[in-house]
Amino acid sequence: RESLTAGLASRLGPGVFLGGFCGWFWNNGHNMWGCVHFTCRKSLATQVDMNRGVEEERERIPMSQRPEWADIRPVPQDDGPNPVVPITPMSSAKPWITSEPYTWRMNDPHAHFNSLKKSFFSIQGITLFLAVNVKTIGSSVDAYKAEVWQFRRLILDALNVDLHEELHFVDQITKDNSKNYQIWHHRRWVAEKLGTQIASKELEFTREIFSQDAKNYHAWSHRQWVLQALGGWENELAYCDELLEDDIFNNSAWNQRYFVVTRSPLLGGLEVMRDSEVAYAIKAILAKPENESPWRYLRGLYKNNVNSLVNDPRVASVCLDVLLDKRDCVHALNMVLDLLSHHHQPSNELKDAVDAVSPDPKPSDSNFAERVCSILQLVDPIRASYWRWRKTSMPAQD
Amino acid sequence: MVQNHVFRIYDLVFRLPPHAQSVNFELRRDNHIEYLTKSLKQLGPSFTVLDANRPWLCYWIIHSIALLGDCLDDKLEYGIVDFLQRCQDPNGGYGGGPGQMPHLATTYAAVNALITVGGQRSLSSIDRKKLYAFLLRMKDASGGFRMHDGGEVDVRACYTAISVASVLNILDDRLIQSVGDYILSCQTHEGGIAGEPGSEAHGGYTFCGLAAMVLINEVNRLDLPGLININYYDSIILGGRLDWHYVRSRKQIWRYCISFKLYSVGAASPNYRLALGCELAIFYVIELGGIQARVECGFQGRTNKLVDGCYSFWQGGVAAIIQRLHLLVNEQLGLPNTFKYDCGTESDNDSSDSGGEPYSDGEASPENDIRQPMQEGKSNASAAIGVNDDGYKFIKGPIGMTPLFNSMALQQYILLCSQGLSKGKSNLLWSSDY
Repeated sequence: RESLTAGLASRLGPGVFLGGFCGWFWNNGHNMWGCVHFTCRKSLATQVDMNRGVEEERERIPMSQRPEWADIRPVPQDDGPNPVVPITPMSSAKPWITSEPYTWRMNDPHAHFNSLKKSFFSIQGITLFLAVNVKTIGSSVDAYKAEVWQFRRLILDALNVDLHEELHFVDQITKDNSKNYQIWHHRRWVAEKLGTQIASKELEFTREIFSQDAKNYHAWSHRQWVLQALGGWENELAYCDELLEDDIFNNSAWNQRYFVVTRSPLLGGLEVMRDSEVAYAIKAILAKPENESPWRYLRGLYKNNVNSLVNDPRVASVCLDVLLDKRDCVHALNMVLDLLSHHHQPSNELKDAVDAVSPDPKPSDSNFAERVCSILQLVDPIRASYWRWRKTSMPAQD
Repeated sequence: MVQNHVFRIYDLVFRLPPHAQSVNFELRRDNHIEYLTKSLKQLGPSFTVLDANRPWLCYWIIHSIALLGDCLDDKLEYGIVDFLQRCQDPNGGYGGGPGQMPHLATTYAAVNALITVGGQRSLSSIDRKKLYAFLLRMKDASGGFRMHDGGEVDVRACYTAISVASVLNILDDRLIQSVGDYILSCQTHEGGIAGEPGSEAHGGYTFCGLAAMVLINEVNRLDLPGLININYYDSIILGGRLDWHYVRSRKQIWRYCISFKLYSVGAASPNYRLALGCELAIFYVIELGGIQARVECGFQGRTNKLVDGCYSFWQGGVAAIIQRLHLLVNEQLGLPNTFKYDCGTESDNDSSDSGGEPYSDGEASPENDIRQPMQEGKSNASAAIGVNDDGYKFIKGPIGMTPLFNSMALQQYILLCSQGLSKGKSNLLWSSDY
C-alpha cells in the first residue's frame, strides 16, 4: 500500500494541485483501502467559499450536495446522549440548516473534516495524503477552529504547494476575521516558510489592516514578528511618525516606536536614540498633555536608568509647562510624583505651579509630595484610592 | 454612539428619585441564574461560532452559577462531566468539542469547569497523567507554551498551562523551566505585560502573566510598581464607556454581550482552588437577522483605548493579586517592610478567609513564606512539591491593601450597563443596536 500511494503521489506532483487533482482516501476503519477519485477544479463550492468568505456561510451549498465530497462519509461530532451547551442553529430557508442537531452536525462541514482527519491520523507513517478542496478547509465558518488550520498545514506540507497562493488565499480571510488568533498564526507560519522575500508584502498587508483599525493587536504582533524574522526595518520609524501624525493618541504606534528604537539593527539602540526621542515625546506632550502615551513613552526611554530621568531638566520642565498652562494636569502631576519619589528636588517655580492647580485653597499637607497626592485625589477622583496608596508609599522625602 | 448610550443610561438612572434608583443597582440574581441554567441546556444559533469553545461556555456558565451561590441538579452535572469527558483527548488535554484537537484554552476551561462541579466523578474524570504529557508537549524552547500542537506561543498559553498544572498538582520543574524568563520578557516599557515580547501592554495578558508568575513563585522578578501604575490607570471606568468593534470594511457590526462581573459583588469564594477566585461570564452575541457578524475575541485594555466590561475581570483580577503582594511591592519601592493594612472604605472582606488580619513587624507566618524576598534575578530552580500549593496559599494570604480602583463605580457600571435597564425580565444582553 505504501509504495502504491507513494508512486501515485510522485506521478501527480504538486503542480496538479492548482489545476485539478485527484485525491486518495484510505478508509482505514473498514480494513480495506478505498480509492476515491474526485476532481477539484475551481468548483462552484470552492469559488463560493473563496470569494464570499465567512459571512456568506449561509449561502453555501451544503456538503451533501457537492459531488466532489460525495464519497466521503461524514463523521459528525458525537455530543453524546446528554450534551450540555448544545448549539442549535435556527431554522431558515437554507436547506442544510435545520433545528435538528443531528442533521446539522451531519451537514456541518466539520463532519467531513472529521472523516479526513480520522483517516489521515490513523495512517501510520504514511503521510502522503493528497487532499481535495484544501481551499475549502479553513475558509468557512471553520476559520476559528485551530485544528482545521493545523490540519491544513499538514496537508500543505505534504503537498509541498506554492505558498504564495496560500498567502493570497489567507489575505481575504484575514481581512474578514482580523481578530482571529488562528488565522494570524497561520499567516505567520506561511510567511516563515516563504522567508525574507515576503517581508515587504507582509509589511504592506499589515499597513492595510491598520488603515481600517490602527490598533489591531494581532496585526501589530505580526508586523513585529516580520521585522524581527524577515527584516524590513528601513522605513519603520517613519511609519510610526505617519501613524502618530494621524492620531497622536495611538498607543500601538507609540509601542511600535519603542520597539523600533530599541531593537532596530539600523538605528543604534536606545542609548543612541534617547536624546532625540525624548524631544519627540516632549513635543507630543506639549501638543496634548492629556495624552497618556507620550508620558509613558518618556518613562520608558529611561527604563532601568531612572536617575537620568530625574536629572534630565527637560522632564521637570515639561511638567512645569503643562501645569502653568493649566491644562489637563493629571499626567504631569503623576510625573512630578515619580520625580519626587526618586529624590528630585523641585524648584520653587514647580511647587508654586502645582499649588496653583489645586482645587483646595488650603492644602494641609506640609510635605510637598503628599500635597501632590492630595491634589491628585481631587483632580482625579476616580483614581482616588490609587493616589491615596501612592501617598503612603512615597519614600521618605529629603 | 455607544458612549452616548451609556451616558444616557447614567443620566436616566441618576435623575430618578433615590428610592427608585436603588432597584437598578441590584444584581438580579434569580434572573441570571435562570438565564444561565437555560443556556446550559440550549444555546441559540448565535453561538455557532463558539462551536470550538464549548468548554468555555460550560465554564463561564457553571462558574457564574456557583458564584451566585446556586448549584446544578444532578442530571445537569452528569451531562457536564460526560460532555467534557468527550472533549478530553486520549493523549491528554481538552479540545473545543467532542473529538477536537486539544487546546490549552479549552483545557483550562474544561478543568476549571470540572473542578467547579466538584465531586468524585467529576474530578476523577481528569486524566492528570496524560494532561501532564500534553502540557510537556506544548512546552516551547523559549520557555513559553504553545496553545496547541503547532500553535501560537504567547502569555495566555503560559498562564493556562501553569494554572491547570498547579491546580491539578502536576506542576514541576520541567514545566516551570524558563517560563519566568519568557513572561518577564513580555513586560513592556509601560509596565504592563504583552502577549509576546515587544507587543503592547495589555490588560488581559497582564493578568495572565502576573498570575502565572505568582504560581511559579517568581512574581518578584516583575516590576510591580510599574505594573500597578499602568493597571490602575487603564482599569478605570470613567462614567461608563463601552468598547466595541466596528468592522467598517464589511458593514458589519460587532456586538458585545457582556454579562456581569462578579468580582466586586460576589468576590472570590474561598472554596475555589483557583489561582484567582473570580471569573467573568462573557457571552458574545452575534447580530441576527441577515447580517452575520463574527465573534470578537479581542480583549482590549490598553492605553488610550476604551473601557470594556470584560476588563472588569482582567484588571479586577490583577487588583486582587496585587492586594496580596503588598510586601513585595513595598520592597521594590524601597520602603520599610512593615505590614500596613489600610481598612479604608472599600476593603475586600469577602475575598479571603483570612482577610484583614494585621501582622506585626517581621512576624513570620506560613502564608508569608511564599512571599519572602528572593534573590534578585534568580528563578526558583528548586521547585519542590510545595510549588503546587503556592497558588492556594497565595489566595488565602492576607490582603495588605485596599483595592486601588473605585470598586463602587465599577459595580455601578456593570449593573447599569451590562445588566441593562430591562423591566424585570432576564436580560443580560445589550438590546440596542450598536
